Amino acid sequence: MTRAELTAAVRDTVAGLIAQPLAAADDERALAEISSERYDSLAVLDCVGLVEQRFGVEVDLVEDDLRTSFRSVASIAALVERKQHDAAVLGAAFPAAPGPSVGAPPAAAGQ
Amino acid sequence: MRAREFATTGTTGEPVRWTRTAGQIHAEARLLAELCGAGIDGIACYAPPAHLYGYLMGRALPELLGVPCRQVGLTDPPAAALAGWRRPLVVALPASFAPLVRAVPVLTGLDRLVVVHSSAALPPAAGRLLGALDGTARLVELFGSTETGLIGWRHGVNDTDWTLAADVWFGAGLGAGVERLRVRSPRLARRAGMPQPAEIETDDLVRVLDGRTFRWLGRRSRLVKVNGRRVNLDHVHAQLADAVPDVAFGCRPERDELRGEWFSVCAETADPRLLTALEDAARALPPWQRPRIVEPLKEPA
Repeated sequence: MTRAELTAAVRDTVAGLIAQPLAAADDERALAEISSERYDSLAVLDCVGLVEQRFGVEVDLVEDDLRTSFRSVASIAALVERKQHDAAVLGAAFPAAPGPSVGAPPAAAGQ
Repeated sequence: MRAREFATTGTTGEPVRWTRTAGQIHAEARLLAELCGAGIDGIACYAPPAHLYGYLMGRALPELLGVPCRQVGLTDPPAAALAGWRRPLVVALPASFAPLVRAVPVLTGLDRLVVVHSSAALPPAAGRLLGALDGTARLVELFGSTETGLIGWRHGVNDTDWTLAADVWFGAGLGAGVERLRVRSPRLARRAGMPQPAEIETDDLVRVLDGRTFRWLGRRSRLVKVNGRRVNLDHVHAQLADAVPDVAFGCRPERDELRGEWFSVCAETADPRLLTALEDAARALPPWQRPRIVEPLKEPA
């Protein structure tokens, strides 16, 4: 997914949440400014859940300050892009080991 | 501490003001200190101080215990909210558990955490938080209202029954069947210009288990608590029906992962013109009374 496609997908997600169409020209604008009645702190938390679900990333409140990372469509897209990039780098560095087949008994201790 | 007034939304939606004396506020703070204040070194308060719960936990309790308190917003980083404390108390709203459960790596570094939650549906994230902090975190749930103050308490997400606070008694003649909860207490608030009531009947349906415990079974009225705030669905329905009289619709309560409870407006029409009119009317409601969605009524599968 290109940056433009990712931003469009984020725009679509947020537009659904605030029940208001968003244009590319709105990407840098603060969402609380665009829809002060809809984009309150509860909506920001709803948005975190939707973004995690749609883009397969995990928002970490120790590292990711919601007040800046969920301020606008552009900042959300940047966060998702960074998370996906980090996950890809980590995935390449530490490929998942093949697991046991479904239903296989766990190895006994000491074996 | 001095006397204060707190407002509730009346049955018709008009605010009702309730006065609490300085002595009542002090007594309430002392009860809360016994329930959840021992050994804490700071309070992070998500509840707004304009409401009784937020005032007691975020103003009166810190004053009584001499501990610092920080008012916290839902989007504030929990690490900053708790910085410098080892044994904090968090005054939670239903939505507070979403940021807290995402901050477990920070919370595991604490010596101890007490989370207080009041009179609203506990979201699933609360169970996840306590599970992740097994042994370190303790949940104290409070049951009460602006009118009555603290009625009872319980511990843990699996605790089903409530114990009355030390200075609360069941109303006279409350039997073992399903009844509306009536309580007596020296902390009952009085309405402006009225004497203090001898007892108050709440909107809750309960079964009394013994002289000091009860099980909560539901509410009598069409009330939901959206992130802890009361919303009367009959009142919302009346407002929407006034604005859009040409369509039959219902307000359907539902559980919400973040807010604890919420509701949807389900219309007996798929006419886009009427649905848009209902959406516009819903947008005109105060923010906390707005539904999750306005949608055509779906037939059960």
